[in-house]
Amino acid sequence: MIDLASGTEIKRFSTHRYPEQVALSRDGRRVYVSNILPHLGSYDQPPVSELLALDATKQVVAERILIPGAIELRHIAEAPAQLGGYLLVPLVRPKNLGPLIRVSQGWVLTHGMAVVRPALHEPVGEAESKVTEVLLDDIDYYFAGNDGVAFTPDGRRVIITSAEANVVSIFDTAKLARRLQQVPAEELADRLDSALTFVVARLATGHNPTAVVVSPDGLRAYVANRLDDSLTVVDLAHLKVASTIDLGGPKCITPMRRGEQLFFSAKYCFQGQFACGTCHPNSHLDGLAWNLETPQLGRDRVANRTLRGIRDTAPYKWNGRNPDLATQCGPRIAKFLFRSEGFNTQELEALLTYINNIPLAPNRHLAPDGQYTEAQERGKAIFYRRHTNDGRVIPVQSRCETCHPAETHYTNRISTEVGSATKYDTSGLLDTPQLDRVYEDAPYLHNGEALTLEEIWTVFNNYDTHGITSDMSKEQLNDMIEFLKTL
Amino acid sequence: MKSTAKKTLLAVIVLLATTGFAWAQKPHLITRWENYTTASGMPDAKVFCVTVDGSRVWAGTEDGLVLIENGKVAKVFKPEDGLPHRAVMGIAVDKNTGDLWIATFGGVSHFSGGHFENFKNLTSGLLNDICYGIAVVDQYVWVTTTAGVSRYNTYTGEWTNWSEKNAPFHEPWSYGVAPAGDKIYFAIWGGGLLEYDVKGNYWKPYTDPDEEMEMVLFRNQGLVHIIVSNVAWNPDTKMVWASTYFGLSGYDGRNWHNYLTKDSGLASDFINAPKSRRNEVWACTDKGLSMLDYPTNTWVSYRPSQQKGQGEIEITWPNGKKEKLATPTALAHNYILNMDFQGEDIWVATAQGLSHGIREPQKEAQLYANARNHRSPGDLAPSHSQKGD
Repeated sequence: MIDLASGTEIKRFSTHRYPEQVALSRDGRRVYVSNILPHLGSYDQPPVSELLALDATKQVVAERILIPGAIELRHIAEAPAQLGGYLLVPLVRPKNLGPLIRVSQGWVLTHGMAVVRPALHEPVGEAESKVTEVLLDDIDYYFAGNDGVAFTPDGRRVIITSAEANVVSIFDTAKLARRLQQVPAEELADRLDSALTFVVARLATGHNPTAVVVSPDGLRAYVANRLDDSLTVVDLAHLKVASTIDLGGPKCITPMRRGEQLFFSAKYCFQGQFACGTCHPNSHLDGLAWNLETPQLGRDRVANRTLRGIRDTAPYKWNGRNPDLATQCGPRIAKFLFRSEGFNTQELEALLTYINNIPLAPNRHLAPDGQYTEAQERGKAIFYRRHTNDGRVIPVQSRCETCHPAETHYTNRISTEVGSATKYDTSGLLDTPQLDRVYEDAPYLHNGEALTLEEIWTVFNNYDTHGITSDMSKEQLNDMIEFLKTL
Repeated sequence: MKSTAKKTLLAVIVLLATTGFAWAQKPHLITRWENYTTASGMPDAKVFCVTVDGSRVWAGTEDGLVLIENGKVAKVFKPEDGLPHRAVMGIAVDKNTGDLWIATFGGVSHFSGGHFENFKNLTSGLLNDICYGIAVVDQYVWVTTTAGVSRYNTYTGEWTNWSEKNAPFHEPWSYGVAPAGDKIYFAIWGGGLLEYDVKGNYWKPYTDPDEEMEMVLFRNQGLVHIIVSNVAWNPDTKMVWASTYFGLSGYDGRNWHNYLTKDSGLASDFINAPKSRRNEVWACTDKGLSMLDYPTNTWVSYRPSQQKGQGEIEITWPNGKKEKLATPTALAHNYILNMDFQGEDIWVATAQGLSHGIREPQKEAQLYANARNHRSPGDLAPSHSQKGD
């Protein structure tokens, strides 16, 4: 919370992971914050995301509204008072607990919105807001990347963008209300026959429509096409595209821009189910572990990995079997993930250009001048130590720097057994992950079982197979983690 | 004539001043108790701690966290609701965010917007899961544990731990924490009182002055005993108060002020926690709740009386005279573990329930009016600065 007069921070609230949008309720009583990544939780349970509600008057946390089974909460739109002031929050519903081979049967990733009826009083303990999830996909085609959402002033219509389908959907709120009444809430989240009951138009936009606003007179909607530098103007009276406003962006599409357009386009996937960016929101990760590698339920589950700063960190995949990104993003994605033809040669080249240039985020834990804190300095010494606390020499293969050398993004690019494999893993030999911005990458280990950096060693390194750490004091481990957060 | 008028006026002024002063010296009394027990919805009789947050009262019991609101038990939270452990030892309110931070025997919990986020020794940098005291200062959460003190930076996620390894902890077992401006005080069981200077990042221990015994040899020589059970800071008088199992100690930055049952109105030398504001110093003892009116050196102790359901107030005047008053209601139990203020009222954690102590000025006046042994102005206490050591 910032005081605009002085420009100073008044107070700071903890959101969840990757807060995305802030919205003030029409009556000024609540501030809502959506989050991209779900709660860290048990890797064999569906994800749970969070919509934070702040009491704008008292300036305190009012409620953390849980959205079960969902990730990637985006924009927040509040219905006019005459509709009861409910909220619409676009979301993705991943089915990461089942084998990804089911892409050809659909349902791996569905796209919809949460209908949230916020509690108007301060809840005592349990979540008091009511949440219903409704899908916006059709039975035979999906509308990935729901992002922007807006009501018309009279509340009759809603416009919602599908950023990875390059489409806006317009729906009738009265019909939505009927649908919500007719179908039990526990069923709606998994019904693909909802959209056809209330969507009145689907209109093509430019690339990556991420936001939408409606004019005060309710006649026009303006859609921001992020990767086209343009606005699509929608005539809401006739439910058609009225025009496109060019915002003067570069006319020559660079490979980077083209690659980013491809990265956020779901049309290459069977029935448009998802894009690269669906599982890698903000070109990062979705915070989930997926049943990705084998078609057997529960086997070889692997945590999603970030795409930020991955140039020069080959091989790829947790099993280290993809020698380069061209293999990963070319035939492997086409045949295994998208279940389609995939990208052609020129498209693949552009996509790789983009992925190879996804930057690391600025480091939040390192001082601007690069100076370490005392704890970080102590942690660095532990990271590079060669003797245990009682003076024993640490074997070379058990030293942190051996597998995580600084000069190659803290990965030696070699697969190693660190004892994290379980009976559900085909092999214990796993790719050594890079550690750049590792604090952003939870959950950890190949299967996402370690929810925090601490757990890598306190819970999953009982036999010193992932470095010699059993002799460390709690203070030493904390210091080492502070150092890791600077990488 | 002029001279007579002057004398009369002077006499009236003196009379009014002394009479008013005498009444002003009478400490306020808690005249009514409302108790919350297992019969009224508390999940367990033993209440370890209580924290007031406006109209809400949070109590930590041996079997869960309790919210009291509008005069009743509004909600009980247990491990199945997300609480990391059933034994809730400390509760702190983050005034900035409205969130609760909770110390339990199974780690620390952040209760925000209806949900618990837990921090344990294995999942975070927390020093130990057996946690007692907790306090929030700006972006930092301070936790006392059996293995030392942990500090969590809510902005960066950094944990910093202090114990005998890196600070002057004579013993690591830490019970209480009291923020005091630029300093933070810690009650260490067997290790005395520890002072942490936030800006300077250094520690200063207060133990027995001669470092040979566990306790002081002379009355106000230093901390009364090194088994410190809890600590409180008075923002009004800038004094820190330490409860020990062998008496009560106050420190004003220069001098120590120690109190034992043998030379004060303290209900017992076995004290679980102190609390202090304005001129009041409260001591939660195993034999009742005592309050010291510091400027007048007058003590008021509360305990259940032998008459079932009735309460007893024992006033110890500065001259050592004791006076007992009876109240129709009583504390839930005489074993007091903790307390907090709510306006003029108090909330008290006892071994047999949570008590809400209510001040009623009219009844207080009646009690004093009915008392047989009124203080006379001649009983005025010497000030503490005059009292000497």
